[in-house]
Amino acid sequence: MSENQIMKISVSRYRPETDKEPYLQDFEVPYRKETSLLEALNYIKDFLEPELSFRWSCRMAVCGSCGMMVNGVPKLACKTFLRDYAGKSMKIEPLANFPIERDLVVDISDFIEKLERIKPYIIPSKEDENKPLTEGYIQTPQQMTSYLQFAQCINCGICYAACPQYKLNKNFIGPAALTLAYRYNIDSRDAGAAERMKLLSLDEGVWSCTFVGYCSQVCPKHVDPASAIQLGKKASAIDYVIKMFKPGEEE
Amino acid sequence: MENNVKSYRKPYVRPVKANWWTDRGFYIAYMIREATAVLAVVVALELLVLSCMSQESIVAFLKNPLVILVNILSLASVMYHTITWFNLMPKAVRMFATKKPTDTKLIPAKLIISAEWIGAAVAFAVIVVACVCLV
Amino acid sequence: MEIIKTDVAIVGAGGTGLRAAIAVAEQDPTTKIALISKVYPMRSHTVAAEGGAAGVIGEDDTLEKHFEDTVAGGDWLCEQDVVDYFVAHTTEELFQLEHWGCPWSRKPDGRVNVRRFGGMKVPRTWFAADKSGFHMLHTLFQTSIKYPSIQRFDEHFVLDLLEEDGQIKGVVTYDIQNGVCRTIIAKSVILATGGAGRAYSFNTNGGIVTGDGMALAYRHGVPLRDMEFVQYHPTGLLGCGVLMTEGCRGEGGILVNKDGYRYLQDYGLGPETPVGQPKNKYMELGPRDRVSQAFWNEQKKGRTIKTPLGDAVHLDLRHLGRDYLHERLPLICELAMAYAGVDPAESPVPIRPVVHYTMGGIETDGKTATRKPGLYAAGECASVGIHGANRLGSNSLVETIVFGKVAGIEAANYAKSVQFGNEANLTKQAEEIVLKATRLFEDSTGTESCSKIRHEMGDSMEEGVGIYREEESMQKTIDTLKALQKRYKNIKIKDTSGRVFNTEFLNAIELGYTLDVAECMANSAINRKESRGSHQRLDGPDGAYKKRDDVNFLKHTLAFKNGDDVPTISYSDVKITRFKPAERVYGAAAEDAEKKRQQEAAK
Repeated sequence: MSENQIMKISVSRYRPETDKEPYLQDFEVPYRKETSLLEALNYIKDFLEPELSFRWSCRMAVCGSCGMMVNGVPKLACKTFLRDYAGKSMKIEPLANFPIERDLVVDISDFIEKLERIKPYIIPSKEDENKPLTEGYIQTPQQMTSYLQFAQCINCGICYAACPQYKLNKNFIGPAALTLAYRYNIDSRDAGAAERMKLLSLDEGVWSCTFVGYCSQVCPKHVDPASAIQLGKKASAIDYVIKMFKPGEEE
Repeated sequence: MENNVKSYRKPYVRPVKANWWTDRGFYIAYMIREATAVLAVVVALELLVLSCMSQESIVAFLKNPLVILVNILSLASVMYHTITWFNLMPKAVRMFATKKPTDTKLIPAKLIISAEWIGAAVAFAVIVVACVCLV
Repeated sequence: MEIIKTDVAIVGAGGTGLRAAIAVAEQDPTTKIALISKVYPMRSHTVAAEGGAAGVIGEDDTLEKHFEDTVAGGDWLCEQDVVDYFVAHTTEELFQLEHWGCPWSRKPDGRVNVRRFGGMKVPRTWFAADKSGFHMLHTLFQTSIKYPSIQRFDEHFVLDLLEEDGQIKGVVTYDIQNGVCRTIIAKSVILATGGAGRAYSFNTNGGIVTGDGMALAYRHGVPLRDMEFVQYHPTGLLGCGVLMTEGCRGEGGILVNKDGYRYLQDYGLGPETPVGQPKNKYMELGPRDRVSQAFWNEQKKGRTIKTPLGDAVHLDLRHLGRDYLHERLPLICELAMAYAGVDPAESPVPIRPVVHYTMGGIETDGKTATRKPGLYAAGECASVGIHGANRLGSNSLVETIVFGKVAGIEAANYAKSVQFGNEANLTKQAEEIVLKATRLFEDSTGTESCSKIRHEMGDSMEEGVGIYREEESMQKTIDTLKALQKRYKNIKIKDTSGRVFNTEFLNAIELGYTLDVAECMANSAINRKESRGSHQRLDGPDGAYKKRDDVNFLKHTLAFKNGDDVPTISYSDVKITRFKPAERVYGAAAEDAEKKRQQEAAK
């Protein structure tokens, strides 16, 4: 590939103070084989249109700021490369299924509230509550592996943009938050599964998922939320059956 | 900024169109998978109808080209549903090969899918053998 | 303008800010906390730390060894009493994180594992694969949700601090999402805003690492200490600067020049250790300053590899094997593939040194208090005194939690001892601050482009205040920065109507912060006429500045704000308790020196 080819990028613009609805603005950006979409957007902001707003920080696909729709597919801008669109054009829009705040910035507060709701922290058992700080839990490599993949979520919101159920029903707790709940439920250090299960078994919990599976397809960190949710359904079903036979057990 | 305005927000919420699922091949494939449920209902009704018929009328009914078409479509949709469902199955099964605390290898998805097909083949064979024996 | 009252305001919600908030909440649930961050907490740059966090745990390890590594690694510019406190509290903080759910990598028996790191005598780096910072940050963020007394102000950008009778009494913020300003009146304020690597154009840092907190404290009369010490990480990817963790070398990765030669043996880090058998403090496990400097020398000798993106050397990991690489360094494999198109299991990765960390920062005492009552600082933005002239890898992640906790407790105690400032007075102050900041909006008669100034600043810093420094080039950078400061006063904001998510406005204010910090770096550097740690000079009469000069410069640099002029530079003493300055050696020379020391002690 030759140095400095030109890519035509259409970027969705929306300024709440002046615009009624989003519109597309075209830019021409020079690129090399290493150029990421994030670098291209920064080029636009630095040299062509300083008003353009988007979130970004780490440039290495770990801070989760720069999720956006690239030709209709939710992706991290920093992990999307112009070389992969050579000969085509690119249409950049804000993450689907979230309200647009401005340009490529969406309002993710609903997602954050859901993350907070599922109690994403270790709830220790009574015995472990006052564990001294001179020792750790014993957790075997296998016990750790069982949840580690589900702990790789960077909270970018891409799975919410991919989820038709979230599109149609904003009450759905959604892929990332449900995955995080499951991650803590199966952590050998945690004793809070019963508390979280109440939430997971609600209508807006795991049972709102119809196993579309697109969340796992687009997840930039290969977290596989669809898997966590199906496993969550299994746990929820078992929980239901146990409660049917032992109704007194519930707190 | 200097006044008492609490917020200048005016978030734009994109409307959800009825044909949202036509945007992506992935969604179309998903909608087809869900739609196979309709043909499952048709087959169920067909079986219900058949159970009330005499031997001769069953044969005549099944020879109707429309019924043949519906049955072929049903078979295709069942196959499609099975394939997609089998492919998704490994997501609902996460198992380690052994219980050894240091074993961190999950049973690979390919192996689970192969097991599903082997299971299906065995079940099919049993049904065929059972039918032959009954007849 | 909306006014919120809280007891402790914390600016920055990375590792330090979150740990501080939890410390306050645990100490007394009735203490109100405002946790303010210009991004959502999990976007904070702690997230990008890869290698791990140091904490004495092995049977062959002692606190004394960690102390010695840290002080010698910092070229004796560390506050030794603070280092003592630090090493004594790292392990408990790391266990605390373990209890909160951090997935530290394990040994087969289920106990926490440690890995080797540069400049450390023994393996003592706790790690969560190569995503240690990511897991620490998410664990802290998620744990913080448990405490109702922590009120988060996500995506709130701090415009200035409020001050009354010489005491800090709150902050003024721009609520980025709502497009309004909001005043937070507090009894004490903790700055936990991270570093300022964005002063340089080629860096490993996120776009948000713009030195905001440093500049805020500096503008309120608190000196920035030891700002000349900027760490170049030896292994960044070309072009983008994305970090290849030191863990790569800790696991056995090697560095070779264009001839396939392990050049580090030529720079006092040898003799060569066998490939795949890393030895602490030898070769690739030397400290970051030495390894980065070796690259510079190789480049001068013409032994680096020419690539379209500049000169490079190779980080070779192939001998570790694909499976091991994917277990221990999964992120590295992913990043090398995405950003360099190289599979580390198949080919060596081209890398070069890149700006990574600011050792210096807001001057604080050993308990994170600045000289301004009510103002505390911790984490990378602060100079609490543990890094000296060169930070050892894996000391900074653990610094965030050890001193984050200290800052939380100290600031909470202070808040209990004082009253709120006068509300009317503070409100008036806040209105003036907002007026000054939004003047950028109101008169858009300026002509200068922010992005141009930013690029010129970054390039000039690389040229003048890079790995090796000389009077002339440093002076040139100082002059450039002065001119940029002048031009900054005349910047143009195109977007004068947008209130919500006006990132052009936000970046312009950030640029002002970074410029101030860059000036401190350059002016601190030109005045330190010696070579120590990451500050290496090539000049002086007969090359006199090439050597460490303990007679004149075993001192902290202090940079004070001096109106619109360049900062005033002065010095303060270094606290040395028991480890007397000696020659800083690695490799075989270090072992000889150690033996000599022990023999002398035995006598």
